[in-house]
Amino acid sequence: MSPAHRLTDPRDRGGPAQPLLLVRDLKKYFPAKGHLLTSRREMVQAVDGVSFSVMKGTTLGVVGESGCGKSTTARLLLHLIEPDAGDIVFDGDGVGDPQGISVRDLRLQMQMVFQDSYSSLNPRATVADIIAFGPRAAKKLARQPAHERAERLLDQVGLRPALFARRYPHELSGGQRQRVNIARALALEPRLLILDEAVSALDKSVEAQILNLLADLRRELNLTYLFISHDLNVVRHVSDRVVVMYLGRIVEAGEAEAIFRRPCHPYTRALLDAMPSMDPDRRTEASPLTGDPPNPINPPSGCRFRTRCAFAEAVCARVPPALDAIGNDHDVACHMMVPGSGHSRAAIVAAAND
Amino acid sequence: MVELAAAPHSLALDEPLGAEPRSYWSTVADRLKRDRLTIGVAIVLLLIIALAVFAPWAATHDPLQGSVLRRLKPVGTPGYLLGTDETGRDIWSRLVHGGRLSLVCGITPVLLATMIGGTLGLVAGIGSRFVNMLVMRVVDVFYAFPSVLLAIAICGVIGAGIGNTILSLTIVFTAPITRVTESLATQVKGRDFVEAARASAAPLPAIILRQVLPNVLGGMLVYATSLVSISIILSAGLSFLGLGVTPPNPEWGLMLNALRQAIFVNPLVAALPGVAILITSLCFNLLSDGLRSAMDIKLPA
Amino acid sequence: MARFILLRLLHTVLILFGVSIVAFSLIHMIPGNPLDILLPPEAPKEVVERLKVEFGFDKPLYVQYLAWLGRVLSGNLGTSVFTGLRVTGELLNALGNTFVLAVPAALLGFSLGTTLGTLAAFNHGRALDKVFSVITILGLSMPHYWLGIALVVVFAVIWPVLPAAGMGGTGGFPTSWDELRCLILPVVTLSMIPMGVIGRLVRSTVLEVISQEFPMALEAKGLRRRRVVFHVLKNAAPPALAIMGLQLGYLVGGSILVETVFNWPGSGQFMNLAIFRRDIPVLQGTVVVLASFFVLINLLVDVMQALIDPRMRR
Repeated sequence: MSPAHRLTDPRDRGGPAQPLLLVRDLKKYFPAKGHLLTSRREMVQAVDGVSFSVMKGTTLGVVGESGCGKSTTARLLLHLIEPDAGDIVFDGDGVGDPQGISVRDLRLQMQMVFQDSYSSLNPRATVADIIAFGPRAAKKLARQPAHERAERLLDQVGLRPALFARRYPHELSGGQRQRVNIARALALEPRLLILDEAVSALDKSVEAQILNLLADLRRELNLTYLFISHDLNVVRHVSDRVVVMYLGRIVEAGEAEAIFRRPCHPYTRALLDAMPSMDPDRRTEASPLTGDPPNPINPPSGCRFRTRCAFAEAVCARVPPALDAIGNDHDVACHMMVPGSGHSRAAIVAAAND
Repeated sequence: MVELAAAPHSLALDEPLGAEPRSYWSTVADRLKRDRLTIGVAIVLLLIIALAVFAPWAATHDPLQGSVLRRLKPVGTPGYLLGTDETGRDIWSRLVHGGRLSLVCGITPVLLATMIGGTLGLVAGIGSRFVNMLVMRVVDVFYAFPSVLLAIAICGVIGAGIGNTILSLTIVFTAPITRVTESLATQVKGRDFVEAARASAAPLPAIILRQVLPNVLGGMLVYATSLVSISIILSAGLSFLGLGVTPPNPEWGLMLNALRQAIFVNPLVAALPGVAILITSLCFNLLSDGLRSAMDIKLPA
Repeated sequence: MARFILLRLLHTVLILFGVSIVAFSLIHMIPGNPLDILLPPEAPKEVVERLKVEFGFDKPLYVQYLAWLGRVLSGNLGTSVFTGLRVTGELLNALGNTFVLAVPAALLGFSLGTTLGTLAAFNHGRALDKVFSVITILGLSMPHYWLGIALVVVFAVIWPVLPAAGMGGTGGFPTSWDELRCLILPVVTLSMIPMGVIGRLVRSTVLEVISQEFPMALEAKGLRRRRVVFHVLKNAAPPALAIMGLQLGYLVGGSILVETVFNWPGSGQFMNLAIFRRDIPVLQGTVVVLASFFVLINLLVDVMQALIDPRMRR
């Protein structure tokens, strides 16, 4: 599925071939409780070497269970939390590099839509104020033009300005609040939108409306999306490419349909097994998950998934598997997929894949 | 991206709840209007303040003019509504004039402390861990003194007088207000909309002013009002000890001290200034409670 | 756990440092030369210079501070300018007398407050709740020094059953019925504020606990009312205990007003006299000791809370 990306954004620097967002080896560790004066430093390895890229005009889905580090990754991208290691490159410019792009300028091109919760909108401000805040504070827009922009955006997200501009968040329904969230994110005219569980809190019918809205907006405004969710169905429908995370690492990445039709990593398979599906073509040999969820403070050595994997062997405990390409735009971090890794099933699987 | 067959997104079947926009504060005002106790208390307070402001007209005599012949007349003496004090001055007039001083000494320190402490608390709550530690440790040192002790120690050292009383009490109250504000600000800081504001590349002052402050104001108001009730008692207490307002100014605490000797002669008269302090302080306390109840709105999810 | 206590201790030491600095700077907040307080204005220049050196006023401020701190830590709080007696001894005496007042007042206030607060919470919404709430809030809003006077008026003037003032006897714990009589009015007066504070706190905490589900579950299990109340109180205890500790600190540190009304020779009155006589060493010593006591109580309260409530923060 090739994106129809038009080179009309004046801020574009590298053309369609250059990824809009490139992340290399991103790491973030949090000290576990009781850190101060501890002799052993216990760290929660929230994000442990995450790398991916997002091409212009596409949607990258990030999927995983809670605690896998996807929300932390989102916040690291915007520097809401400081990364401990790794590079973030936006349209060819390193973030934080002296020759690259500053965090502030990055935020003017990359924005986030939060999960709808009671706290995602300022309860003391009107809808128009909420949307206009970014342009007024960050871009020094005057009150009148900022509010005009807010009203245009309200229109664009499907809320009649006359009805909604002067309302307060507690007077809106969940879906309406989410539209305001989207309008707020769009107010600074970003090129990339991070959607962090943006539809997770909504009823199904409302979810459909919002997803359609997002699809239309992507077309109209030439946007690129990073769509984070634990809901596989939704991710499958919205994403061009997908990245699967487990305990702070990426275990599988590639084209969306390829991954959903032929999941290779045992974790991905287990996730998909949990999904109700009507597709008779989707036959897997994967066993269900075994074992207990591991401790995020002391993750298993080697492959982090091995304690729940039916196929774990000695090599899995010794060597952490790298993200290797096993096909056209399909990477997996699993010893079973790599011939010569030492895993007994490696050769079989390789043969089956050829 | 696959399109989902669902209703078109721009259908304006979405209508906001409620007929008219209602801001948080107008909801609070509504709830207050229905709280009869708080309304009653507010009226009493306004009465007290009005009497203090219009003291020269409300008083029946010159509060500083006394006559030895008229010492310690009881309540209900014709011409002297509440009797006279130990030098023959009319108590009602002195109470009414004293209200000015007592209210000023009670409210001003809290106002000043709220401005200073509020700013410090906001900065400590929003700023870096280092800034937070710096501010809060200094606050801790001042918190280490019981308020009465600190107020007396400061006044004992810099001397009596209205200005010094206000200064001393301001110092005493800044620490608790800073603590409360910092705690409120830290709570607000964790909410998503503040993160969204940070993500919008807005400068820090704008975030503090437009996002954090409006959400912290309510809690600060409740706390400050309850502090006023303490401040009135403390400032009167300072005058009672001779460390606050100086004689012959009519101030409730001062009057209480002066009339102590009178308890053997005319006990009722001696108790009056204390009643004034009690009522005023009580009203501020109840007002603070009423405000807190009114602001404790469980908003629909 | 040990880590937490260590941190807290470190924190306390820092605070005590700050307290000592504030207490020390008191003398320098006075307008004018500190020496003027100690000497009459006509004193000859040589005497002034000599005393300056003797007291160390010619040295830089931090040296003076360190010297003073050293003396304080070794127990020497200086000598009273007025009486010539050692401050430490006098202060400890006075502090003892304050404790004679403060401890019973605390006990009375806490028990009254807890009872009223619990009763109010269990009768939430009914008239009894309103009555008890009014009592507790009165305790808070009352100028307690005035209450003292009012009580004296009632019980010593109008209906003379109790002494109006004074401690009677020779200080220390009351050893006779006469001395006990002197104790009653001041203790009742002093107990008002803790009663009010604890009463309100207990009421709101118990209300919160009741609104959770487990008391209902306990009753459903067939536990008698009294046992349910006991369990509820156990859960409501931690914050209340913490505040009680703080209130005790306030009582000791802030007893000056009541002591003045009742002419009670405690640390409060000791400080009062010092202020009027401009007896700076006494003032400094008293402030340091009282504030340090308060800080230590804070520390104890924190540690106790951490022991009871396993969810310690920081």
